[in-house]
Amino acid sequence: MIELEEIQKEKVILTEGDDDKNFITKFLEFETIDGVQVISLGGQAKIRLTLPLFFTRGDFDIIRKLAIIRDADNNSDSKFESTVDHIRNNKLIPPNFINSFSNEEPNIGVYIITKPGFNYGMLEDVCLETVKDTEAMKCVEIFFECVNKLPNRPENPSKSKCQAYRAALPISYPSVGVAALNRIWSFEHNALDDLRVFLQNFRD
Amino acid sequence: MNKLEELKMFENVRIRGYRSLKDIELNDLRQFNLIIGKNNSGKTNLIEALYQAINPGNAALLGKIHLWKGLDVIDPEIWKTIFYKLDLSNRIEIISKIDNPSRERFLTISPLLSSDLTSKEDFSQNQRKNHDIIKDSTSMEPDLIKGLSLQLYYIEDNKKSENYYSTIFTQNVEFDPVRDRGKTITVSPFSINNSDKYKCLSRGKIINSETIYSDLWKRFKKIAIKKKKEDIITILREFDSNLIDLELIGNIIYVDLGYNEKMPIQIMGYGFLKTLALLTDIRNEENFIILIDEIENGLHHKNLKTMWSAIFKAALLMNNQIIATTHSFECIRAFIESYPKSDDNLRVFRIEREKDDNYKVNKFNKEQVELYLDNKWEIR
Repeated sequence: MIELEEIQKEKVILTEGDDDKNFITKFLEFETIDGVQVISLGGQAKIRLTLPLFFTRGDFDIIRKLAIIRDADNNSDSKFESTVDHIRNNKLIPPNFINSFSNEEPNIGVYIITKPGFNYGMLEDVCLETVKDTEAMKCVEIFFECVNKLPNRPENPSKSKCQAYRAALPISYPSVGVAALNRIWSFEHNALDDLRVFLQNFRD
Repeated sequence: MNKLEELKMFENVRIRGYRSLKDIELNDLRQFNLIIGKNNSGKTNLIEALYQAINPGNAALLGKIHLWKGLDVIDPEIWKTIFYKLDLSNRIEIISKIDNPSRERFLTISPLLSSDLTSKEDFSQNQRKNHDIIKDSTSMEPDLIKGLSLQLYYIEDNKKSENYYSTIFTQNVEFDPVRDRGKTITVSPFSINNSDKYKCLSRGKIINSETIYSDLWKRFKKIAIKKKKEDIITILREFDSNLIDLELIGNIIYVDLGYNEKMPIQIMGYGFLKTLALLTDIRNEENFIILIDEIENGLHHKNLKTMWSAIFKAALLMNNQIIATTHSFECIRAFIESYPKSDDNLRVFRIEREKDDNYKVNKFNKEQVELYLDNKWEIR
């Protein structure tokens, strides 16, 4: 018999994929925020379908507070707007502003992850920022000085850099999420302050 | 306009006031439909109302349902239960849109009350009048339900048909002889008077735990006569690879498992028997709407895929529309994973009874259900 991932808690965070799920789960633990269920939407390729579908779940009514955390990719405003559209289409009240919550129950918050100081980016940018002063990161920067001279450069430099950073560690972790589970990223870093503030909404 | 109806599938159905169904609408039904929902969400009531909608002019269908349920069909209290909140001032409305050609049928079912049945002569007039006014039951003396009155019309090509009336008396009714010029006219229970002007060829049947095994041998006999037995045996070998043959002797189906003697079919497992029963229904009927309540009942989850594959194969061949209910996650998965085609001919409807008996219906296509399954999300 299949084991279903049921909604068991009134507070739920939705992430785009498993990496973000692992990252957020570990970050909540670091912040000592408990009683929150983190659910993956199955990866970025499917999110256009899975996000609207999530609102139709048979057990959705259990949720009292819901956060949707997504990568900004090219533009945080357009990502926020498309997320808010999905919420509205399901007759729920979205937040008025990016990285905030609505006042109606279920309270819904939308957090868009950007490269610190920019309106684009993804989780990998934030992770890299938290370790930018490490020795391993210095090696990665030197490596990328070389990579950047190649005629065919990596399509997604942030993901590539992150991969290179993980490869430079004593134990190589296969993904950003697994690295998060092993506390490779520095959760104390001020690059995570906006997310930290947003997640305070989940404190009892 | 007495245009005969050919096979039609339900496209849209709206039901108001039938048992717990205050108001529920299913839109965009396809050839294969699975209705899911928690226990007591109204799935069985929905199947019953759809059964009435198959032939909306037939006043006998709701009576049949009561008989299957083993209810005392002459008890007026039992008949009250078909009306929402047992309130006889509520009427039942079933609007069903069928395809090819598109025709929308509007059925209203009202109780026939003792106060309506003053005289036979007045009765026909009253029957028409009753459908045009909503009675306030609180303002009347306690009234007994003596039967049902059905009013039907349809819209086709933007034209409205005439009204057709049918009646079922559930009580012994004796009309007042004074009002009928000295003639005593009595009507016995279960006297049914369907309009002979309305010709409805849309056909269908209901399969539930009460009906599934009744007359199985007769259905099997038809299958054997039509030389379709081998198809069914091939499918049933999925359940038991030793199966050689099925044979009807008298009114008992015997199974040949390669032993010295054949054995009565009853010795076989429930999955085998249920699939045989479903297939004899589906394989015998062409262009039918087939309603199956609690399709997974009694089946082991490992058998569900085999059962659905068999249903799809048979129903595609016979051009039947299937509308089934389940509350089993494994059944939903088997329904999606067994469908042999890549077209968009499947729908899953989840019905939820919310506060104040308001119904919420979510509709999913195959791709959406697959996402639910991939993510292991609760869809029911």
